[in-house]
Amino acid sequence: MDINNHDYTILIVDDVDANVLLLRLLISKAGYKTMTALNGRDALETVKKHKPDLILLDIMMPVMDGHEVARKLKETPEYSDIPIIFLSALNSTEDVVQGFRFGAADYISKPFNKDELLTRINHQISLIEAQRIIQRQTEELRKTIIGRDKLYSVIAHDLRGPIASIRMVMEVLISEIKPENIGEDMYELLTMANRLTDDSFSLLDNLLKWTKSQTGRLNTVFQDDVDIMNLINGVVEVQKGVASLKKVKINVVGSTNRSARIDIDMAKTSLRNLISNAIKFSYENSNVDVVIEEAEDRIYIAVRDYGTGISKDNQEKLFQPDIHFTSYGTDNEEGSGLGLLICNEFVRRNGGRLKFTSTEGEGSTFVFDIPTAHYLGS
Amino acid sequence: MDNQKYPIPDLSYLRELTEGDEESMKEIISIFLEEAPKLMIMMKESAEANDHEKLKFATHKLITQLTYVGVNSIVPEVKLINSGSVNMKDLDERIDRIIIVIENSITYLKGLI
Repeated sequence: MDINNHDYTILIVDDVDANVLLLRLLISKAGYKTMTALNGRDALETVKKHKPDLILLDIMMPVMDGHEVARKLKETPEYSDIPIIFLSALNSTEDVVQGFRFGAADYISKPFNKDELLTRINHQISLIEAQRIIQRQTEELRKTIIGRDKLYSVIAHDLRGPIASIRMVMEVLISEIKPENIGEDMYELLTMANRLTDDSFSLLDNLLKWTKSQTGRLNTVFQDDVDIMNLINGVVEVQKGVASLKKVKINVVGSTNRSARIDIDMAKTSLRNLISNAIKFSYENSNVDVVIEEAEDRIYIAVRDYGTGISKDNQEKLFQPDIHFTSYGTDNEEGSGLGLLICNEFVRRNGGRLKFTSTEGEGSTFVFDIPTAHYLGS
Repeated sequence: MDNQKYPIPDLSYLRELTEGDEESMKEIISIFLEEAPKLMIMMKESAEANDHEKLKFATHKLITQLTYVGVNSIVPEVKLINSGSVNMKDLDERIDRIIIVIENSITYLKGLI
């Protein structure tokens, strides 16, 4: 840390001229700027006018003593962070302890040792400098994060609309056009375009929701009596279209008639992401199972695939926001790495937990739970 | 007054603090010469008036200044008065002894500036 002593001003407060003179001499020689006050009241006035970086404060002074000065400064938020070094001939343990009780950063006994005095001053100044560096970096980081989140939000929000429209058109086309009418090659291109549009929409939707949740702009909107089975069937129905492009079959195993108090959109997004991932890592002509199990006070929803599975190393990278982890699907589908983070966050917000088991080469099962305690028997 | 009865002020501490700067040394000595008589009077009067708070204040200020100009022999005595004058039966005698040493030192220090 490179400290320029000229950038720091030290206020010397002492009613003895000899002390002030000597301290000013020593501190000025060390390169610091100095100001002086001969009593506590003047010291407070000087602090208000010039806000020094450090205060060397005598205790026993006329008009207002050092303890009172320290107390008043510590009570004023604007000045409470200015470090105070008490400099006093009162040097019993009780005096020193009392000094620290009044908010002293350090305590030096008079008559002082020159080297000790400068070492303690330098130490306080280095702490101030370190604190200022941290404050500057925190502020820069805060601005960067705000800028990044705004950018993500604008991109996701402004692109989401047009992509949603294209997606709708693509779905109509793929359902209406027969391969024999446009040829196998063209149909394959159309299928690919449909899948890419769907992936892009999911990515933008995830990006928008993740940014909002991380910037505190996404509220959890709980709704009473959400029919869980209806919610699952709705998501599965939409995902069947995506799965069919890869000849993957989605099976719903089990059932429930329970309701829950949850945020529907978050629950749908979580399930959609888990099924989408399962399809992505499934091989052609395989199955994805959505398994519903009831427990005493909650319902477990598992999404199981029989695809690539996740290696032990990669399993440790999941759910970690600071690690950008994504991998290609069996058909080279790309991902953003956001899906599981969003699932984890949204499930947690709704009072559940997301867990998984996976064996490389055999497949993965992701399971989350929804609390239903208040709706038992309803 | 017999100068030989009392130790000569030791200016080594002041020389170290000022890094041998003669002007600064003279300035500190001048301040002592100006302040010490006032503090001696304050000590004497507050002791006579049993005003121990005021006596504490005077001795407190004196301790550092005596150390600067190297009148070290009486510093422990001044500290004792500072911390426990209330119970001292020979307080006046102690103060008189201190004043004699300070006056002797003042005479010596005046010769330096």
